[in-house]
Amino acid sequence: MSDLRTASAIDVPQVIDAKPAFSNFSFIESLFGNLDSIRRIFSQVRFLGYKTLIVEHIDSVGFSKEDDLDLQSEGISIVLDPLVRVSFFRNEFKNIADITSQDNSSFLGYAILKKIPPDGHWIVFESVIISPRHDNNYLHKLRKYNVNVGGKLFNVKGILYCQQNSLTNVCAHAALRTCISIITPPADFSYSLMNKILRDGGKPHVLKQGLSIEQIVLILENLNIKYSLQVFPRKLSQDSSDKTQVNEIPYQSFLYSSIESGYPALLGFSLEELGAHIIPVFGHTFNQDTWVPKAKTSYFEVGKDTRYVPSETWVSTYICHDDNFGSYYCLPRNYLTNENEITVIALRPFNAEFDAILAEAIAADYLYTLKPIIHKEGETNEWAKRLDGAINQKGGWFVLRTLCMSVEEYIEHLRLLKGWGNETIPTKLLSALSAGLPKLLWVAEVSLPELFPANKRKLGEIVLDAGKVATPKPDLANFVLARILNKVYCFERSKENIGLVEYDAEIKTHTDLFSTQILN
Amino acid sequence: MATYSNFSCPILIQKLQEQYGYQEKKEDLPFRKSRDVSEFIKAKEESEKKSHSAKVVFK
Repeated sequence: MSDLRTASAIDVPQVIDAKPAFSNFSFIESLFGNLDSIRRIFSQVRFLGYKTLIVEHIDSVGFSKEDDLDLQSEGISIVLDPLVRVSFFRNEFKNIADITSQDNSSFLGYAILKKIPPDGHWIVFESVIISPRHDNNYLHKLRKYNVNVGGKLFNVKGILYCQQNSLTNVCAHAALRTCISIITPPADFSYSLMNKILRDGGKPHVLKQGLSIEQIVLILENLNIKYSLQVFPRKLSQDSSDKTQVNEIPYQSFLYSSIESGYPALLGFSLEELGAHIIPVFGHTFNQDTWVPKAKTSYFEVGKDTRYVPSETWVSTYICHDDNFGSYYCLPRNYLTNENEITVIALRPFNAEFDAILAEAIAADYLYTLKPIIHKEGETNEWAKRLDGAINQKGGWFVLRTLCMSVEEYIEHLRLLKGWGNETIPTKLLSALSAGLPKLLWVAEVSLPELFPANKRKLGEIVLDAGKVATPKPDLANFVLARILNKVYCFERSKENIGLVEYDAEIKTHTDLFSTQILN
Repeated sequence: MATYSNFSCPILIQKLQEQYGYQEKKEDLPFRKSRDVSEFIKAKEESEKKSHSAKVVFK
């Protein structure tokens, strides 16, 4: 594991008053030259209100040392200059001795810069800055990192950013390092280990060359990380030859399928005459006021009889790092088009046998199966009547939002639910669910377009067993239960039909959506 | 009395019956005739297999 973050400084730390008229641009140009990534990081902390900058020199240890050894093993002379660790504080202080009076609330993050051969240019070897400041930014899983500043340990929660050295590692290594750091316990992973996996697997990384899809998935599979892979070939504008392919699932759905459950995705795209680039995507923004037309374009069609409005509709941008340019950028949802070849490698929980896209399609199927029951409930429950209308008369004008969660997370969510009249789910139902549900669940929340974005509320959920392989047969293999308003439905198999058993959940109105804060 | 193994999630129905007692099934629902989801699953699997052979290199 990298210990660059906690390494002691090799000389006296420099304390810099960063308030205006201190110029980030001048400081960066004087030390690091023309480096976009560090300019971005300094701009972020400026927005976050940083007032004090600490500059320390540190030895090349941990992952940086491993990087040096990789370079040397390729016959490349490393740059012997120490690395530079810059740390950012919200509070103003003048002497390094004052660091003892600072706490984590003042600490905004750090960046470690390293000189790279052959010309000694700088890169941001790694950085973690606290997550973006906007209310509509959703990053569902942040990691905590300990950082030594002036001899005192601070911690920062965020998503690890890193840059390639373009020799023994490239953008794909950097994107993998970020993604693996989000989902594995050590919260970091070295390029050197990635290259060892590739060598051991018979697909070594070649100096200065990129990584192929085959190499990327070899690394993921070696770490037992589950993923869905989809390549969207570049299309000429009149080319509709792929119309029948699953490629009609928008690439954004694959990104969202991971992100909404707290998992990252790798997004690759071709660049005009520059080959292909890949970045980690791990969050999204949500615009409650997005206009959604009641038209074919708003639906996701599993097939001609099965359609719904995906909650991804209200995403406006995806939050990503770009190793060339810095951290926490917002990539507009429709920025990439089919003029680019697009690759998505969407990661998912370790024990989830299928992804959110399949889970959502299966959940939609079960909701349509329940149509006659929801119709009957509509005779006595106005919200069931509205849902019935959305399924039946409007042909799929309902929203599905699908997340992977543990049984404990689901039960905790149910325990906190309150209907519009403050009604709650009975304790004995919670006890039975707690004891009887599978360990890992796909939960497809059911809502209406008029209820979902602005109110962030729903009418129930379809729950599937994420630990069983999804089969193309209508065999109820993954179905666990459906909670629609005040009823929990379980299914009994028979030869011709599905036997329906129901239990009272007592909430007759809409409730809050699952809060992904629980995932943190 | 129902056999738990007939249920899509046998342990859950057992635990629910321990709390609520035996519940008669309310009614029978027909399986959907639509093959949308099964075809979707197959198409997605095939597309993913095809994606593995893409030759793109990220640098």
